[in-house]
Amino acid sequence: MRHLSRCLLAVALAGTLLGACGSDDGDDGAATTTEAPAASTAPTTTEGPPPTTSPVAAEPNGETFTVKAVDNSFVPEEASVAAGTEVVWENRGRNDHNVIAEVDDAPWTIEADDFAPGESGSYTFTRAGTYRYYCSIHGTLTAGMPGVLIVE
Amino acid sequence: MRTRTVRLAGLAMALLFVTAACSSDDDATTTTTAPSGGETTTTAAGSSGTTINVPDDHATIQEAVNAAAEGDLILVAPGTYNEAVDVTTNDLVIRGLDRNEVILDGEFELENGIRIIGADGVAVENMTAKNYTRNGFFWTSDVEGFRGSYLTAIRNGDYGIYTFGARDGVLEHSYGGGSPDAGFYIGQCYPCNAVINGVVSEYNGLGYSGTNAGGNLLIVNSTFRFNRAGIVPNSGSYEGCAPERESTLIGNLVYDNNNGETPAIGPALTAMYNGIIVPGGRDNLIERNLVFDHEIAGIALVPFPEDNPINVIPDPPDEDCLADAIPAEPDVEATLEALMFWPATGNTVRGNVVSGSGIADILLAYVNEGEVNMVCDNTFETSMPEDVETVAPCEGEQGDVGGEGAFKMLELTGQERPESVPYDEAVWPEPGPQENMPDAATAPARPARGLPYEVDLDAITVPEMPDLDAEG
Repeated sequence: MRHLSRCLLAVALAGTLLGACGSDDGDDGAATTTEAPAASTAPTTTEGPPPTTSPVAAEPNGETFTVKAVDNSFVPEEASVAAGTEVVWENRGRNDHNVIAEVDDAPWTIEADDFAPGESGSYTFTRAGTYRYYCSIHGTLTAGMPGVLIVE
Repeated sequence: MRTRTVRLAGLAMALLFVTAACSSDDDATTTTTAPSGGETTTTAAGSSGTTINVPDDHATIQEAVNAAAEGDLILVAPGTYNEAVDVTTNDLVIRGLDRNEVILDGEFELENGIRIIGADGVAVENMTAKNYTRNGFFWTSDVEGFRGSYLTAIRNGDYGIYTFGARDGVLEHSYGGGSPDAGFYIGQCYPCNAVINGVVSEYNGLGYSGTNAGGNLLIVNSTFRFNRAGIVPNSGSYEGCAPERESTLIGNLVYDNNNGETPAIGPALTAMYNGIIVPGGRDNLIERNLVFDHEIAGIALVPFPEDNPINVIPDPPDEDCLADAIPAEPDVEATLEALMFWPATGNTVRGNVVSGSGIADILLAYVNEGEVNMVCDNTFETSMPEDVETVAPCEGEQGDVGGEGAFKMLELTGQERPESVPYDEAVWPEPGPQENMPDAATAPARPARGLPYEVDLDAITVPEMPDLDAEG
């Protein structure tokens, strides 16, 4: 045999590494780290609000939209969603990241401790507006690892 | 309910003896006559000739940075600075007057000591950053031109000295210790056009890590010891510019990277007990290094089984890249395998001196058909396969490497590792005073332009065996 069977080794490696690393479904109850679909558990507080936020709140619409955090950017960096959409941030990188809202104390901020590689958090945006955020570890609102959601 | 999928680390896998071969880091300078006449100042390309002193002109480094114009020199007096500095101005030179007495201290609360975001040509010199929750010194986001010289990074919560999406730079005469990821990291660049020269990396999870970095990337004359694993160039879909390729490791001293008492990220646990390990890297040159005393392998070329990849292995890879990773479109994502194997192939292992390895001084682990590596002219005692220089020669037909190395690495990486020690709790012998930059008070500012400098690779020899008794 010149080479190992790739399938055999893949299965073996998967079993070994999964066994070695395990998994953690820890739930700290954070309001901003919900698993889809989360419309029923989404906070009912307002989203900030930044200056451009609409005063009219929409009902959750059952839609989800996913933003992936990779190393080191949000993909997509800019997105538009309908009001009432649940936005899910997934950390698909190998680094820690966070989701820091432009506005202090926004309920959809996700701290790094709740957003390790493999973890996700979500929030249902019910008010139209422009929501800017960034990963403070790897950038600022304007450079490095920024993101923006336009809720329509 | 929050979801978590703990990542699988890859197969994993140093120190140095510094030879004095290559320090030709002189940029072109010009002498100009000051407007007042009589006195002259010497300036380098990109330098404004203006000096801002901290704290005399501005109380903090950040205030000085905010006030600076492109090309200014910021001279920082001895003291402790509890600040996290962001730099977005091109061509600044930020220099401490004393490497051991200009201390940025994050007090385990601030994230990064000095972070350069998207600014080109910034040089940071002659100071210490410690106790940051993330990184000591950090260049990121499409940087062209960087230099870190005479820097000390101690006990930072992610990397010591870290460049990401940056090219045309140098990290030199610096120290990184006590971080769970790498003491030194260069990632996401091709060609990187970068040099790591004359550094010491110890008591970290990884001595060096370089995900998806390469292309005229030299790691030379440096020491990697007492980490979990030594030098670890690696590939992954979660960063841009994949795969890792064309890194050159010459003249490094790599020893006793078996340390179970360091902080460590997952891949450092998996890579533990190896000196130089290349998980999923291509076309690298590993030559004239002195590598000894590793519980698994001195030099290992292994596949990287990436779990839950975000995209396929690019074919062909991007030939000009600083860009971030792009997740696959849904139709492609649906076809991704749970484990995607990045092959370690096209690498050359030549003229190294390797000894004292628990499993093999040189180890090859193949998974995919068509993997080829070249091994020759090394001094070693054990290998896997046993006749490694015969079956994987530098010249001539490749033989059958077999599956022994892959199965052995599989077996070993499945074994339990000593748990990570929190970076702010780890106990290790911090370094004594480190060498200062010459003439810090008077040397002209040299923004990070025209880098990297040329390294005379032919002049580098295998490091001499260090006096371990003297090290205590």
